[in-house]
Amino acid sequence: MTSPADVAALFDGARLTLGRHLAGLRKSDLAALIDMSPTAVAAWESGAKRPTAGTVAKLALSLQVEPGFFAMRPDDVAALSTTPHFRSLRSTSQLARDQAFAYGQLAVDIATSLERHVEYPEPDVPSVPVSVEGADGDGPERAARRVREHWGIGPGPVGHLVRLLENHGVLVVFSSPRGASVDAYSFDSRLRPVVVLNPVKRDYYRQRFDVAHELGHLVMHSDAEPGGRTVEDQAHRFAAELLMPAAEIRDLLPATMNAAAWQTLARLKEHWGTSIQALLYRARRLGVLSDVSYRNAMTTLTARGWRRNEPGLLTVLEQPSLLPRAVELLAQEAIGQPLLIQQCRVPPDLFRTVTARVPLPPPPAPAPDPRHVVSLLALLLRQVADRLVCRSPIQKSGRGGIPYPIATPKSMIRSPPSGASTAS
Amino acid sequence: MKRYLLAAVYLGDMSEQEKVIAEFGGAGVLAGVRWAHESATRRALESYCEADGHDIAWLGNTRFTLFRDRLDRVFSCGRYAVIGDDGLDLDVLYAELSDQDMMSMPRLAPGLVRRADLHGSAGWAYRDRRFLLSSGEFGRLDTLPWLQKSLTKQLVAMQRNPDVRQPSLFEDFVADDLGAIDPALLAADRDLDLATYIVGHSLDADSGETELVFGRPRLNLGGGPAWYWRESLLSVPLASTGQRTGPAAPVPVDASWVPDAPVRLRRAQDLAQ
Repeated sequence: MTSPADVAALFDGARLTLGRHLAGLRKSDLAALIDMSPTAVAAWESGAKRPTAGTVAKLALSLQVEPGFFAMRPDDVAALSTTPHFRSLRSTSQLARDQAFAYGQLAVDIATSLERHVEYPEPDVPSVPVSVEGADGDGPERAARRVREHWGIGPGPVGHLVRLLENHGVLVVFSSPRGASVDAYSFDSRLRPVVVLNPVKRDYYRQRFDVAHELGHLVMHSDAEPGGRTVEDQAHRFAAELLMPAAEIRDLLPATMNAAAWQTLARLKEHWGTSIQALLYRARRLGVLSDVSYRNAMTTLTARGWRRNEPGLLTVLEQPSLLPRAVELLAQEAIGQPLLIQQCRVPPDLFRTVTARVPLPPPPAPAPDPRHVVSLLALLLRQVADRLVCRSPIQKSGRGGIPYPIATPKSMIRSPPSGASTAS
Repeated sequence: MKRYLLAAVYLGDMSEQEKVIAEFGGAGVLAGVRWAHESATRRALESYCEADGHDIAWLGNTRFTLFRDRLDRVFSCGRYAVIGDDGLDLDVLYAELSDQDMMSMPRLAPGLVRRADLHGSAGWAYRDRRFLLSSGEFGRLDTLPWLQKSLTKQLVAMQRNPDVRQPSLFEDFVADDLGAIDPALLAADRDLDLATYIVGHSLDADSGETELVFGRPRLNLGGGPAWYWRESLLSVPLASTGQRTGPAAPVPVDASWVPDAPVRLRRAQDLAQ
């Protein structure tokens, strides 16, 4: 373990920003926690000033990380990543976006750290920039066809989409169940493109569409300003063409809605691995289904409660494998998780979340209000504390007799800015 | 099925581990094994009662018996085999299963996996690969001492490792260790009628934690790794769930399973560069 004194000498302001973002705190919140001024926090983060060993210890305690977390490292991937593409920018608070992005950067950090021991597939995502101005052209569809061709997908449904991305060097991870208010998002780091999946949807078909949508951003929008309506619409069109190429699916889609049409949709859903809603949208977009029929079909979906929970045979999500596989391979070589966690200098709980094949279970009820930004760093300690409380009526203290904070400080839970709502 | 396109593309230059896991995983066999293991463990722990005189040996025995039974159920083998055109007798298939077991049982086509016992040891085969069961001490599956297991298991652990691309000190047995082996084994052919693998399983009765692996065993004379390779099955998805409707149900395969992305360890010379 690195001591606060060692870290003070090697202090990296960007790491403090990362830690603060993970904790979902504003500069002023963090300043209040350690009884210092927001200006001091700003100065440490910008590198204008260096905190003392004592302050490093306080920062570590407040953010619930090891002091070594703040130490400078050879590659600062954080500074080299592009701005991520978040959907519903207007309804996602800046704090939530900062937290989500910090999580993505941490994932890159972990991947980089493991890359010293393992080799991943080389990044091979074609770049097909599509102008945001020419919204009426068929740029997104051409980009999707280009990807199918470049990756040798061939006609028919795309197989395991997450694996397809991974096999072409994209890092795919599930986000923390705590940061679930943000939808899936993507960004390009210096090392490889990254897609972070929302763990809460738990729908095989919708997740595939999300992954295809994010791939669309990575392929088309490396230079585009994120968050615009056109950019999002283009990513949707890309996803639809990638998963359900117009030339192949047009003749299979129902032109009128009746009992047989629903059966057809259920069959197409299983064959193409896309939701009935996506198929209906596709049918309307391709002009196979009239606007009236589409609206009626959507009303039926709503009435049946399928808008949020469509019936489908596959109940298991596509799972990422890049980091879990690396961790497993290293375990077989007697390089266990504790050592890797030490090397990555990340909180163990976040390491496990980032390297998991399946989304970790959401925190126990009551579920947090998705509009609130809760620290991603406090989860493990809370779980440990909960276990201790369950086992013994006497509340135990942490190592070294210093009691860990059991609950997240109230100041860490922020109310959303007025007008904010849950991301779709 | 087209959804397996990726699996097919990457099968070419895979290691045996990747190939076998892809085949068994893609067909839903691994999901079947995991389901059988979970169902058997749950039921064994529910029935286990120290006050009634049960002990760890009882638990081990019961768990094995139930594991074998659940494998027969999910693969429609033994007394759960489909005979003639009558289809599955669902009453028999679901007898004594919990709702959770029924709902989570993968729907696998009868005939996909067949019983293929080896010298009296319960075994199942998919295509030209067979697997047997072997229990071990919790936390020590990786060093499971095959010499303390039955001759059949030792025979399985003696099979040649097809992945060895160059001679290795560890591939062939060291002469000094040969004294520990049963003479019948030494005389036996190291290639069996079917390539045979082991499903290793263990249970910590106190915590209820389990281990479940599928791998190619390695006859670990004088200790050492018990596997040339092994894959944990605890994270294998129980994909297509839902109750069986009869033999006419759509061919139920685990469409979500494809091999992991090709991640490989760096060799010493990579690191030196």
